[in-house]
Amino acid sequence: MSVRAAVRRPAHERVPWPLRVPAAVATAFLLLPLAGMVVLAPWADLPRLLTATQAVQALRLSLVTATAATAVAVVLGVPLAFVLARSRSRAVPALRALVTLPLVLPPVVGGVALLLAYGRNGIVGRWGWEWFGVQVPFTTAAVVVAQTFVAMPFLVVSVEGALRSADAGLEEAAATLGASPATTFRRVTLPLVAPGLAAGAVLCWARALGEFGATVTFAGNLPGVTQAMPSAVYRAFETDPPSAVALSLVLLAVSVAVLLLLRDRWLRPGGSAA
Amino acid sequence: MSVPAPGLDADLDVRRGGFSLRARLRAGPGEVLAVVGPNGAGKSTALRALAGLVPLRDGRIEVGGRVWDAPADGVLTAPAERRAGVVFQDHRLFPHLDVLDNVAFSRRSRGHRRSAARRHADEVLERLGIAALRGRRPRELSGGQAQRVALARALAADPALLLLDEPLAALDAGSRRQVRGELQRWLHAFDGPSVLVTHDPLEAVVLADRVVVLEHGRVVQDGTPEQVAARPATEYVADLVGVELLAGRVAGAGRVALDGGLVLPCRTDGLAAGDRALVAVRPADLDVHPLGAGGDPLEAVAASRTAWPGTVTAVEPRTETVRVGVDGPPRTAVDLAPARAAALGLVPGRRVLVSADAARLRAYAPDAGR
Repeated sequence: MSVRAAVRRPAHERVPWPLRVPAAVATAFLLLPLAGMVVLAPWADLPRLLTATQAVQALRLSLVTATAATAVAVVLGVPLAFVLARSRSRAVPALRALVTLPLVLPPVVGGVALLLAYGRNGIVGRWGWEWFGVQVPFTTAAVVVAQTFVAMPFLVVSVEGALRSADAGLEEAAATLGASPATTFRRVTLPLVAPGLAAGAVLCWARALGEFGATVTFAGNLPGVTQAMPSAVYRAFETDPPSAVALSLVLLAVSVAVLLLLRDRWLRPGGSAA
Repeated sequence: MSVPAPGLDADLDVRRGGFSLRARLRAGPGEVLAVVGPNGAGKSTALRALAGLVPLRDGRIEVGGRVWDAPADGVLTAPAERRAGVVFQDHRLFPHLDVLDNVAFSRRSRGHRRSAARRHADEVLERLGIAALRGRRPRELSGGQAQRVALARALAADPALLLLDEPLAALDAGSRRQVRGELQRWLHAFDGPSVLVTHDPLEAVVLADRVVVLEHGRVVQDGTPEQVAARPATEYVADLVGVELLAGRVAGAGRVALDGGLVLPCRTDGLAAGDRALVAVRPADLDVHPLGAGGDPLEAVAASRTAWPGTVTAVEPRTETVRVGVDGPPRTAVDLAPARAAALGLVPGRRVLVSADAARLRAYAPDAGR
């Protein structure tokens, strides 16, 4: 049926042959590695591999840190998005560029930058070390800091877009009905951007979960303390490849789940956010 | 200081970019003031200033004896504290709340408990006869229903001043008539002052006690709908109420020299020779007569009528009449019965005679209605 339907399409709607071949190659290029992982995965050993101490530690640490990083990103990122969307200051475009820089910055560079800021000799970190004997790098907190650094821009960009497309007229209406600016934000603005906030939080969480470069540089790779899933995969690949594949499968499954969650928003061209 | 006016007393001075609005708007308790004007005249800006969405540059807004905005005294009350109920042209219902919670919004925002706010919202919906809509989301409402809910939401806030921005513009012709009737009832029942922005003269006549006409940010006319219709001060108002405006100067008792050159016999009570004068002419009060080759009328024009020659420029059939454009001077439009238009055989280019009943022509000063 589908073949006949394709044949009956007007010529201008058909994909020309010179485009079909590279398109097929591109698809294969993207899918084959994933297929290889699924085919060669040690399925029989999976329960044992994923319940090994190191794997469980990494899984738990990843869940805790990614969730904490997302919480920090929501608490700090939503107000930042509000400022970016509503402030009329001329500094806003520059601020937006700086804030979204981590999106394109190599994560390992982010890790180096974090060390220079919050490390024992960093511009901020030295005070914490000299005054309180506290240091951030190579702690679980450092994992959260690194993940927040690379993942928060996803949330900020998503929420800012939602705020910009939200109808400012509704906020005016709320004001004429006696709502203070804070009440208007809570009862009108926030519900309006809720779909954008949810999508941003999911993206942010997924990015935090996969964070490797900045984490390894800034937090290190200590099992049980700073070794999250991607670091565990990297370490296991040298010592216990089947375990690395098993952990990778978990991350792949999470990625697929995120795509399914966001499918209305990202996979359908012109799909509605609601 | 005089005794504070219990209604609305606003002396608006707003600048936005290159646009300047200066207008005095007043309405007593229970009175409906229509603000009429072409696009860009400043109607919506006036409404936004009253609601507190735009600050005054100068002037004063006082409602019920309270000062809402007075730059000279450093007073500026925030929109949330004004109790100005606004019915926006695009309704602006909250899409994430159902009808009941939209109407309960103002009480919730002012700290009432959810149950109490909802009970009050139910009462308002009941009063406006739209209780059946209480569980609907705004996207499930028709234009007329959304309009009623927007009014209910504004009234539920116990406003001291009700502001309506083109309340019927977004509706189709059918629901417009019905909502207009309901609106008339609710505006009548509301005991505070109301300001209604509209470009529809019918809306102003049906709903308003007084009309202010704005053009280019200035008041060009102010009065009852009847006064405005009888003595339009500008081409825009004349067009709005469907009359032709002839401008000239009083040449002597009973005569006005029109700017085009014709001297028109008409009543000039209260005007002195040399005064600027306007004469409003209803197209239905004019007549057209055939003109012979020698320039004489082929049919007798009654002695009580004044007549002038002109050239037909357009013949346009309307629902019950035929509108004939005649270039004089003065340039006028004449409404004829279709049978008469056909009998005259009017085509563009034909020379004709236009006549008017001199006793019904009345000259007035251009600023008479201000």
